[in-house]
Amino acid sequence: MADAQVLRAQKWVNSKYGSVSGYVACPENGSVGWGTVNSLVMGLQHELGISPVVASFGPTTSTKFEALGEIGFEWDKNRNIVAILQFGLWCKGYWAVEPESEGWFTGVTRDAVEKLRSNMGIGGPGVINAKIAKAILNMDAYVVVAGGTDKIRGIQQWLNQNYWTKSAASIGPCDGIYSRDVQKALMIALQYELGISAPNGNFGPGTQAALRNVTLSEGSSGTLVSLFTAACVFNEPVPIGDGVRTTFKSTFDAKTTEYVKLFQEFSYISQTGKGDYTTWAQLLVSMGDPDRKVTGSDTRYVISGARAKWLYDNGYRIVGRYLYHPDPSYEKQIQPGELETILASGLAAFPIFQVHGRNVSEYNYPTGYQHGLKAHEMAEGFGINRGTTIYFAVDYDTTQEEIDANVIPYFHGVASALAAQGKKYVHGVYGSRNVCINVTNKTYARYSFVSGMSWGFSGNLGFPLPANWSFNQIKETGGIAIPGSDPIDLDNDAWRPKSDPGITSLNRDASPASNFITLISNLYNAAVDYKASHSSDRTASKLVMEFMRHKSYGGVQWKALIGDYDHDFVSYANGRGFDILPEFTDPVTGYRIGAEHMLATADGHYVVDQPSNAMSVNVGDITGWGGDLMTFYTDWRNSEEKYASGKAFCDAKLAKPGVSSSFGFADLIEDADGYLIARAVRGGKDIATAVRERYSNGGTALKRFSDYFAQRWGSAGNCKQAAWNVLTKEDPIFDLARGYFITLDGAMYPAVMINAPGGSDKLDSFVQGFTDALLARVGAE
Amino acid sequence: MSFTGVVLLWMPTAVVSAVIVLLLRRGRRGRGFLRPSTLVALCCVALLNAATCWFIGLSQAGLDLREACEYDHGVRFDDKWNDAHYAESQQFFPLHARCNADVDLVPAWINPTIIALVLLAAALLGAALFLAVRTFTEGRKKTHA
Repeated sequence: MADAQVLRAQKWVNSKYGSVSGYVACPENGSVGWGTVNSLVMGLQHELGISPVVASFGPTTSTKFEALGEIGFEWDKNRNIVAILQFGLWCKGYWAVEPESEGWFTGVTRDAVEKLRSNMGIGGPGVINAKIAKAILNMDAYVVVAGGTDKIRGIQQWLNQNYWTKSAASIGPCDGIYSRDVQKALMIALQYELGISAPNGNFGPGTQAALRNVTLSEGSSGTLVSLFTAACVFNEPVPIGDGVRTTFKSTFDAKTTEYVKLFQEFSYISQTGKGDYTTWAQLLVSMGDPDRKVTGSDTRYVISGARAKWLYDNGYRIVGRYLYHPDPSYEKQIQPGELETILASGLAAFPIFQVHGRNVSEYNYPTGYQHGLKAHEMAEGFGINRGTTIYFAVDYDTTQEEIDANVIPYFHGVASALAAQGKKYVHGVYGSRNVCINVTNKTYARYSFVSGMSWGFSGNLGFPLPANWSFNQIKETGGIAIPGSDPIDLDNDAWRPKSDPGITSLNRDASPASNFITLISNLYNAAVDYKASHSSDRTASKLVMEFMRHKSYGGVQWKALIGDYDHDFVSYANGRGFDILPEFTDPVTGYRIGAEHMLATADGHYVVDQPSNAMSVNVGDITGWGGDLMTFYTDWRNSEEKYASGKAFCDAKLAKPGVSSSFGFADLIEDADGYLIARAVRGGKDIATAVRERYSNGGTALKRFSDYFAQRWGSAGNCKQAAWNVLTKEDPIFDLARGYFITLDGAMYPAVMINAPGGSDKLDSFVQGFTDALLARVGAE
Repeated sequence: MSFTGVVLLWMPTAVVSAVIVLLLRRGRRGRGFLRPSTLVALCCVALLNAATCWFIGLSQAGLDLREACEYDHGVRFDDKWNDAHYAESQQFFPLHARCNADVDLVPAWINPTIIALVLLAAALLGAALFLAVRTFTEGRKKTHA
């Protein structure tokens, strides 16, 4: 939205300096962007006598500005400089001066600068020096922005307050968001505390050596503990359970120990509970301690018998190899018989697909599709088993803009190609932390292989380790001499336990869900036998659903919604040795999905068929997407300070892999599959057939979201209205459910919200977010 | 479950209870509370509060106990323990929502409060019956006298 003061700033600076050598005019649209602040910087440079001007507030600009001394009330040596600073303040959202009075440093300006300094955390009088001027003329925010938190802003202000006057430090943003700049500010502060002679924000040898002498533990206190806990906060939440968080403090207490242990567990480093060197390194840089012992590796060299033996003898248990190279004789590509050699040596392998991958121009949808097809062809040719994750590489420091515009479409292409081939293989991602997080959130990559050793990548600084990380590449070693072999280069990869098992056998084509398919088939046969020998008015398929839900979804709430399960059949099946399977591997995504929740949802939709009007909702919906949406609504209302927009909350949290949420990625899959299984059984299929057709090789799960959306709602309008109805329908059962999911958690009741000013728009935004999330998944298929 | 949420959920019950008590006070002014109809009404108030209390206890598990434990409360859900004890969390009374051997999401005050309210209701009902019978028999005696 255009801002009148910003528009005046743009017009003023363009008209004033349009003819200056090197000046680049900014767009006159009333919106703040780098173009505008850079134009102001260039105007300032002109006033300081710099020629030609450039779009950067560099050392020369700083030095010349410092020569002016502090600029404050009634300073009038150069009114154009005052005007530039005031326009900068307008762009930051501060009431800089009476409009049209730019150039006069008035009491209003002084108040604005005081407020700015207070927001920065530095306090003090309303005067401007070079560092403050630089901070005014950039795009940093000093108030919490969408997605930011007061906790992180508090740390940002603390860092500014304590270090802004130091020569190597600058005034950082206070927007509540952990970013590259914040990470660098933390590192510089740490270097000052460690006594490094020339702090520069890099994790260099001097910093590493100094950190080795600093081990913090329970009972420690002081500035180093503050910096340590700040780094802990920047790396939160640790994605275990609901996501474990900590607080910024100057004393290392029991809670800190608890958090550190969980962080260490997640990062797969020794669980000491202390702030030792390895933990400091893991908190500060993407590769962590590069010299720690690891069991994973990857290489562009062929793994011969001698090399495989050396790897095994030196503690490695898995090695990454490339599926393809344009010149197949080049040993970067897996060679015939090589995988057999690796497996015979007791190692596992994991496949990587990379064709160059070092330039943004290589990333687009068509290329991704071609690469997906090629990867499938090559993996199949090597006899790699169904369900294996293939890591597609982004091997350069890509920006967020490039990720959005190029990398994500590339991975959509990869996923589409793999789906077109029956989804025999699932895609993973190799790249910086930011690449991995984005590709996982937006294309549902199964695992992340993090290029952690490129710790200076902008995509690694200021981002936590992805929740679905499986490998973290931490160190490259060149020219390793191996007896009976030429030397090789090898990357050390931390291999996270219980993550990607890699390739452990070859030429097996069973579906990853085969154990689930078999269980349901056998259970169905048992149910048929049971019905033959016992009187039961339930169908055999329903008995199977009930058995699968009876342990976790058989409580009073479920009895009230869809009735009790058949206790006699449960005893009968238990007597025949059956037990529930809590989860199984989805052959389409490679993620683990909950069998109990899915079949409870199926039972709900089976007992209560969907309403004839797709916009209406009923109890069957509460057992699936409707109940999840009520809980998710509660989460949103309880996070309103961070997410004013319901749609933004859905975009950030709804069904995102690796994101802690009450409506997670697996929940949506379970809702969709449960619904579709119920529909199939209602349509006359038995549950064994419905499950087999869904999860066997090339099964109907490939189009689960398209089918779910088409069959349940049919259109985006119906979907949105149904979501609205779930939250507002006047019905005793729905009222009770909402009392249950919403009121008891202290969230505003939807029917109350829509009658508050602006409340209807808010709820509309939320249900639109739900609809968009579903449509995005339909589109991805 | 938040304190505000419990208060909000209890509010309709509290309002109904208060209205009943106020009506009773107005209707019985000067005649005392020890009348069968009054005691029956108070018995209903006690039962209504017991039901609300039960509903609050029941809601701790939500529709998905694992999610309630791990997502809402940050407590580890013990599959093995649940395998052997899931029936405890499925019964009508006493209410439980056990994440593991040590953690029960149902607050400790819920079940005793329900028992106390139901006992109170039973006592009020008993007293009402007693008074009704006594009034009836005394009435008969007066008639015969």
